[in-house]
Amino acid sequence: MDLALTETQVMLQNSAKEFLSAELPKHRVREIDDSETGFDRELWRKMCDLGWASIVIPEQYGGLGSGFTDMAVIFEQLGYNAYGGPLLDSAVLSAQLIAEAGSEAQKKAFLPAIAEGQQIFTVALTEPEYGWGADRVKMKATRQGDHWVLNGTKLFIPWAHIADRIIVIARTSEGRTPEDGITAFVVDRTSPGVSTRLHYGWIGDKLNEVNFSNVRVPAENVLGAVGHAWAPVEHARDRATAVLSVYMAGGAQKAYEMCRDYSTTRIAFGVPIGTFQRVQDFVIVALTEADASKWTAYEALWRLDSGQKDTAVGISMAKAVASDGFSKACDASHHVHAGIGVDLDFGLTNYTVRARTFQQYLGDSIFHKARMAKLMNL
Amino acid sequence: MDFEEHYTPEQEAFRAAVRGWMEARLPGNIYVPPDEKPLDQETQARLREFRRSLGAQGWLAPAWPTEAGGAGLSPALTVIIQEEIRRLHLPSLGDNPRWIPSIMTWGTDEQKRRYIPPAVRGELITWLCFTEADSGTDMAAIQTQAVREGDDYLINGAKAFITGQFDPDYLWTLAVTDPRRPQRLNLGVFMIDARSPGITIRTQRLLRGSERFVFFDNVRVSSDCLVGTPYLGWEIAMGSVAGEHGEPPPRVDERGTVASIIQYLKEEREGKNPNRS
Repeated sequence: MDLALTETQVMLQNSAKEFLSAELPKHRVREIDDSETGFDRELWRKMCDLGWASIVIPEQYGGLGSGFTDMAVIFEQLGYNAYGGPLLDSAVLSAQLIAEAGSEAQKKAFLPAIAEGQQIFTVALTEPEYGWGADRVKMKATRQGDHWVLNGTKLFIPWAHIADRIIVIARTSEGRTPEDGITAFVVDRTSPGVSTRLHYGWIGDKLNEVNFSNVRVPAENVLGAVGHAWAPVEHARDRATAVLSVYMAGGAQKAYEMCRDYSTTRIAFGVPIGTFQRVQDFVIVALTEADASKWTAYEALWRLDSGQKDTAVGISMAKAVASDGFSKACDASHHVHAGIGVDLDFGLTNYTVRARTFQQYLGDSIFHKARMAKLMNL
Repeated sequence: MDFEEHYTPEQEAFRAAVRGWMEARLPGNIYVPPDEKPLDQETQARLREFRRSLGAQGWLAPAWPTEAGGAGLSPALTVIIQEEIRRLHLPSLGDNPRWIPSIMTWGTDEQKRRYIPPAVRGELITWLCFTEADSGTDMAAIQTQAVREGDDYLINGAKAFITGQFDPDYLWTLAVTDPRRPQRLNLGVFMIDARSPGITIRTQRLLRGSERFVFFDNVRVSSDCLVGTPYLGWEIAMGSVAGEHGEPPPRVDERGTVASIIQYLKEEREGKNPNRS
């Protein structure tokens, strides 16, 4: 067993740490989250100039063709810094779906632009009857001559309001199982009939309600074969899930460090509050959840990169642990911080809102544990 | 044991009358920002008007004798008034019960006359100003100073996590009156006019809602707004805190939350999707 990072991974990690601490000083995350779009295009440009959007895109389509652990090392730092942005949805989830399902022409048309960061993609899967399984994809797409027509609503779609293109997962036919008859459509966000509306709440990254009203999609923008998109969607979802789990582990680590440090500097009744056992308990909980999230995530990534069997089980386990663990670490950190922890200017809440959003995104722990049971034939 | 609430027909009739009275007078279309920022002036004016009408009925001090500005009601009817007010989900209306008992106990006759009748009539909004950024649980560690100068005190300090959505009239403020004395024996409570020069109020945004910062910069107050002796502040503040924690729980609200979750789940099962946009 060897838990060390490769030399390349160490370099990526160090450069990410340096870049992010320079670009995201204390109040910057709050400023970006509070802005109208929540998207800092200048920062995005700089990240793409570093090549971050190209890491897991195949070389022949303008990417670096590296493993997912390399991508994860960067995402751990992004999570640690509570960065929000479309990197996961565009450069992992969308790109992987295109690489799996797309025709040669589609891969050539879309992947290099995603790798450069010139185009931002996102995937619209979840609907008002919320869930991440194929049974929750009910939005219909109907064929009309040489094009398809989309009608319906997707909810909680990240970054749809600033994406160039939205890959819409819709149902083109009813099959024996819910997985049959699902198709992926590449839709221009500016197409007539597409409208987005930002959700508000304890949301870190920006999520949208996206409405489709008689949206015409030319047949050549169907990604791959009609009715057979689910398997590629699931593969892409798994890869994004593995990377997201490490992002969440990075955030949990920061939540832990904040409460560890606060417990040594905050004085009450004449002593640092870390002197009190009840406070120590919460610091330990935060550390334990951060650690559990990190190592289940990196093990899942090792399975993915080295082609182990049971990779899907490992990925679902990592997300189940991170879904609950990131929130628990933030809750524990809040207990230690008391009042100041909920002050938006203090900084802990940047992690809390992300813990809540990502608890659900790509499947919560209930979904993933059920999936593990199914995969293990329990 | 009996967990059911038993109200007599007379009490229920009283409740119905009170509810009708309130619904007729409550200003409609009140916008309370979900982030709990300070209310706009028009909303404040309308809600203050409503509060004064509650005060005129004696319902801001329902158990008190009518001569004192109350309504002379029994404990059961007092609870009914409190429940009916709470049911309206109005923003916090000035916390009278948290300081009036202290002035009754420790205040001079002149202070009682100056503060209590207007409060009971619903004319005053008073904020509790105890907490500071560096002293929450450890309230005795506050740093706000009140320094005696002739017949005045000079107040300097910064309060945080202060609750209030209306422009305050008074600030029920805890301050250190003598830093040389031991903790808990060095505090005074002052009923400070919120419009005194040197007071700045800013909003403190929180994960849910917001609170206020209150900054005191050389605020000069007459020593006749000190309540009780200069070193009685801890005991008085503890009384306020006990009053706050001893308030009747919002039973009606609690039932509402659980009921609405059950309703939501039933509708989900029946395939109805409420609030879908």
